[in-house]
Amino acid sequence: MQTTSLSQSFLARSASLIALAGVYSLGSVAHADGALGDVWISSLNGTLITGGFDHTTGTVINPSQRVFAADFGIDPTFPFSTDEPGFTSDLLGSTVTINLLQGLGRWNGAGFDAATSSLFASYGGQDATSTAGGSFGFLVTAGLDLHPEFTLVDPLDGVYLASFTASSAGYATSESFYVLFNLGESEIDHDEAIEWVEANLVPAPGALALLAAGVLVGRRRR
Amino acid sequence: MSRTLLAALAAGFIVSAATAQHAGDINLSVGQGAIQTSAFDGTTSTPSRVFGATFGDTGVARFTSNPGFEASPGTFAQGSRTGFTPRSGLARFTGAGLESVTVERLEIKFLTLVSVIGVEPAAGFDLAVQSNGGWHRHLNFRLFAQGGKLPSSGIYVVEMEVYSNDGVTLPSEPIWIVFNDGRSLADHNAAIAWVADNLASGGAPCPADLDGNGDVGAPDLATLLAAWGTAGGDLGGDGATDAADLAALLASWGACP
Repeated sequence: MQTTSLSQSFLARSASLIALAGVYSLGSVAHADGALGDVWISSLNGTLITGGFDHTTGTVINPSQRVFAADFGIDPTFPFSTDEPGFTSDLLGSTVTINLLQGLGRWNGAGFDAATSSLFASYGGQDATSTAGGSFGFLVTAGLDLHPEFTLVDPLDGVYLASFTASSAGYATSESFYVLFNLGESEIDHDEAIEWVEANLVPAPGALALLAAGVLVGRRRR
Repeated sequence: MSRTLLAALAAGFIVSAATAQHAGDINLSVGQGAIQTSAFDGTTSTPSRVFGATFGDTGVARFTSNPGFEASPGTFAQGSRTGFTPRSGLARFTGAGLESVTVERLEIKFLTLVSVIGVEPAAGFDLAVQSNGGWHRHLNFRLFAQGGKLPSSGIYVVEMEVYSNDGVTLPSEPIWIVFNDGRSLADHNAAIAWVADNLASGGAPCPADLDGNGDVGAPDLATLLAAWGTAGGDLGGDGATDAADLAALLASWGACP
């Protein structure tokens, strides 16, 4: 497993997932292309899940995607902001809350350090920051295509890792999903960071099955 | 247990294509040298200059980020900007026409860019075209009232035009967005119909009238055929002149409405 130098707060949030990454290394590593699209929120067996959504075609391109990518500065007027990724959902009539988790990582080439910058997210007058955590919610209607605004505060060039969950009444909260925001770094660096997160923070389905089997064996032994 | 888990995982991959997600957006294309607007229902675009929106549609009172604006890749020049210019003050639908607002204001915002439309129109703003020449943006619309009051529920209408700063493309014809704040769907539809009949009808789009003479005829057909494969005779907004455009032109044959 690659070496990381995470801050205490960032470490506390991510430690369990990172520790599991070595166990799950048997799972295939997706490529950065797997981070494409808007965030699609659905449910599976009563738990919220995230997937990748292509708004151009209106189709779900990956029903179990947890890593997404975005670039700050898509408009030169706002070099440190973006309104990507967008959000959509098929949970018509539900109010979905997007929780921005505390802590922001900055890619160091081999892992993530705690960032000195912070992320500010806003939708419809609801604000959240990576410093304190926070959330914004929305009612899911047909054709939902929601684009919150994300701004890097105290910006430095870098690839930033923000962690989120989705929650909604009547459903178990989703596993964490991740957005890799790029400010001024090459796409190669951006892709490397994405691939690192896919490999280290997101267990592949095959690895999940192994984990389940391991848990089962462990219980039987007890 | 593992069988259940695997079944659940498999189920996760069996997801049918969702309905197209930006039905209701204002679809932008370039035709006859100007920006053309149409309503996109998820599969087809119909020329339109009147669009509906509903405050609170995502659960935030007096707020909506709809309709969005959608232009396919290649529509605008890379490096250019596309934006809107309000053409009138904010108006409220009375059931039989429009009246000027008193204290209500419409804020149109994107990050730090803000336009507030009240009794009089205000300056608009523009945003960069995407690197592929497309433009997909959701501006934030918020209804509020001066003096800390709550705005009256009602149906509000704003008129604007959409422009490109590429120095070549002409702005759109005037378009209207009809916002519903707390009124019935029937009232909203009535307002949309009133605006379409009384404000937009004079310049009803006739995209197949490529020479602008008020009639779709042989010269237009010749122009479309000469532009085959290019954007020059594109009527549908997909950036290319093709059989669908030919069919649309033939269906519009005769005097424009």
